[in-house]
Amino acid sequence: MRRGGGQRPFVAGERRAAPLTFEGISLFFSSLGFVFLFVFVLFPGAASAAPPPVPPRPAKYVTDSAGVLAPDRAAALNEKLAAFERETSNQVIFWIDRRVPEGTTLEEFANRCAHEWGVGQKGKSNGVTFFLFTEDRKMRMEVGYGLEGAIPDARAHRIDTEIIGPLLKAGDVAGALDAGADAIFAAARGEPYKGTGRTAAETRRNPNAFWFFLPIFLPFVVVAFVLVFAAYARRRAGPAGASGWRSWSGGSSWSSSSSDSSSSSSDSSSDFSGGGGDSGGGGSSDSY
Amino acid sequence: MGKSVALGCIVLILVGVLVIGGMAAGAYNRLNAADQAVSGGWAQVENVYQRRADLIPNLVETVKGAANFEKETLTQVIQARASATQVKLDANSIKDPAAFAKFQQAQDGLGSALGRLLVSVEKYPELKANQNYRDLQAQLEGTENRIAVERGRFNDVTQAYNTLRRSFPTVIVANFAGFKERPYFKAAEGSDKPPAVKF
Repeated sequence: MRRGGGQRPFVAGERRAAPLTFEGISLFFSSLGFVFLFVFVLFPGAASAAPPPVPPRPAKYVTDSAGVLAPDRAAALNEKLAAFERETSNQVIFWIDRRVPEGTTLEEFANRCAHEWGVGQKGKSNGVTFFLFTEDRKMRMEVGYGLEGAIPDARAHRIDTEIIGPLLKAGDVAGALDAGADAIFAAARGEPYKGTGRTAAETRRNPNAFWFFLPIFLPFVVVAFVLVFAAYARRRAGPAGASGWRSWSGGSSWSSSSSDSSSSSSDSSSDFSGGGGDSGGGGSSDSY
Repeated sequence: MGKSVALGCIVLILVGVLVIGGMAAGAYNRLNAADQAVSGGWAQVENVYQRRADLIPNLVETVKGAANFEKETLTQVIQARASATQVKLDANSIKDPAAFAKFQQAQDGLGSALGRLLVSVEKYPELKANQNYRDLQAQLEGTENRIAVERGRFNDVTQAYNTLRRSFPTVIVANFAGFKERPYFKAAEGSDKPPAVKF
């Protein structure tokens, strides 16, 4: 027998139908949606043996984790590399550490780093990442896709063994990297990449004002057009409904952004920001 | 009362069909995009293998110039290269595991023949000192590295495709539309043992 209370009151003559009212349908869908949500959640698979994580993006062009560079030499080299990027848009960075990380090889580490950090401009991939491991006595020049023509593997090998290697063996790390940078510049100039006068990091800090404000003002512009069109259509349709339209006092001035002179880091040397380039494994590994 | 039930049923079915159709279309598009990514990755792999094949004649000529270089090693490399360039795969046949395995075998055979050649050059100091040879050696090492990188990336996009293809409910759409599981590059036989260098 039907129990009373908590159920719809039974009205004589009305058949008790299945709950195909709006409430019923919405309940059905919400439960279905719940089921879908449950089913579509992809449970993460077991992680396979993965190589160690890539170190975070370097903030400068020269990163010395082994402490072999004097600070002033490192800063000078940093500025030299930043200036090269401003001039040619090629990104050349140096990464110095003691040992190749465990669980990976020099080549695998170098390629993954260059890929993750995005050395080189997006689309051009004109980057060179030079790795030096002082305790392992190994180096690798990882050349991006865009510079493979100017710095083929043979040339990279020669720069490593003829220019950088001898100075490293003599113990002059700063001199070696300086001479290496010069050699890389000379080779890279073989490709006609032009710089914009700013590094990728500087471009990111001061984005073009137009593109920044456009998404904010675009909805207003669209609404204005719609209103104008609607008012015009109404006027065409008949004078009765026309409310006339106020002239749209638009024309906000596009103010150019002021240059961001305050930098968040404490020192004033140029920052590095990956341009989004990639490397395919070109370059040369050498020991000294 | 009956009419509204029927109407409600029809609405329900229509909405259900729309939702499922939308989901199926989405799944198909995702499968397609993943499939294209694998084809793109394959093109890169072919690229770097071709690069290696192109470097070898140069290497053979340079090495031949050295006095009394052992013929057998050279011949092996030339033959391995010939058989590797004969096994060609296009975008469709890479889905076939047997053809894929054959391709990998041919290329790995060339790789090991090359490795043996490079090792045996150690016995010829004047060849080692030859600048031409040193450049070629750098190029070959670079190409081997590129092969490793592109194979790794190909495996990554293949894994993404296979994972997507197998996930539920995409697997239903995949089976209907004929998306098959794709094979991976495997490590070469015996590559976990270091090569024996005998002089």
